Amino acid sequence: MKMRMQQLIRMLFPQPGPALERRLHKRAVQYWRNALGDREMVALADFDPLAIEDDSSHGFLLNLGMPIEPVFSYIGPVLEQEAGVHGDQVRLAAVPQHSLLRRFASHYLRVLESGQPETAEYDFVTSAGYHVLCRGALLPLSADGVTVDHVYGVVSWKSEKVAVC
Amino acid sequence: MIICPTCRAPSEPKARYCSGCYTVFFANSPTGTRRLEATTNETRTWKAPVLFAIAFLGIWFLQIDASEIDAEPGSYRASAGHAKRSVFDWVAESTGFSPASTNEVSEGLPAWFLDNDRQLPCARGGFCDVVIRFDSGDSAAFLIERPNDGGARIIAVDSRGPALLNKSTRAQLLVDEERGAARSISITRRDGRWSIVDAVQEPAGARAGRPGGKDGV
Repeated sequence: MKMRMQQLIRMLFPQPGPALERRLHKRAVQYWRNALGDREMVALADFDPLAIEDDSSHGFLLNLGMPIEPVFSYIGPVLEQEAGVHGDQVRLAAVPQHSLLRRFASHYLRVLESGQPETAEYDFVTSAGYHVLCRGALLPLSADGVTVDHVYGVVSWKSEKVAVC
Repeated sequence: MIICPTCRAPSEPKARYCSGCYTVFFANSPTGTRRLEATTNETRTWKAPVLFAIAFLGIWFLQIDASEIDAEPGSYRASAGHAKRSVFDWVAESTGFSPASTNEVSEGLPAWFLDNDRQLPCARGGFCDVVIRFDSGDSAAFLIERPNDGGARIIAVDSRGPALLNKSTRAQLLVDEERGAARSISITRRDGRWSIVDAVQEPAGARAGRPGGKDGV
């Protein structure tokens, strides 16, 4: 509720300084840092993915209860379709390797090591001749407040037609 | 079937993005699609200036004195006051409610307070018939009640009376005296209350024969 009010105020009265962050991965990292405050970890219960993106369609939540075999507790519908996976509790290993979901979620080990948000980029060209530039952020979360046992990630991209020579 | 607006490639009806150009589809948007990260803050920058303009106009409207009676006709104050009164009258007619339409009800008829009633020739404890002629040229019959305790009241006995009293701010109250002459008393309305503002004028017939007057020379 407080976050919604802040968003409404920012929308009605845009500050002359830094504008509202448009990039999804930057917003995610900003939100995580605001939620961290003076604490050691961001609690999973306090984390609101809707504060980053209205419908969490580009987000995913990776459960690292068993680090050897992480499982997705949630996959946003856009990433779900892009990866071609469906259902609940999808194993990371079951996600196609070429999918954006697999590519970005695989960086979870960096998050486990550093305990800090990690960002990544990836680009490719589609068969239709569009250059897609992807950016993602992975945020460490903790259910027990001690160890990083969840990672929330967001992936966004922009595309442009490749100039035909 | 969804046709991607970017690359015109067809997609499944439930597709969330275009596999050709990776444009993301949103069902809630007017066109059904939008490019990711295409939104900017430019479309939102008009809201603050509009809110400021509305607040400024609202404060300007509130500070206009609608009961201004000393304004020179044609001046800004007179025009602004007239405009504000017109807005109030329009709102009252539209809603059928005017909180300042009457001060109270007397004898079952709408009544308005009349302040500074010492100059009224009407006896206390009774009523007297008057005619009020308004600056607009309209006139109507009223009753003036002067109770033993409390101030005088103007009671509308004519159906046009309430509207005339509510719209006008200046009028002449004509009272018939016992000698047959009519006394004219100026009254004005300020802050919803009528009040006598001038001394009772001498009737025109009393000036005849007075030393210094034309007829006395």
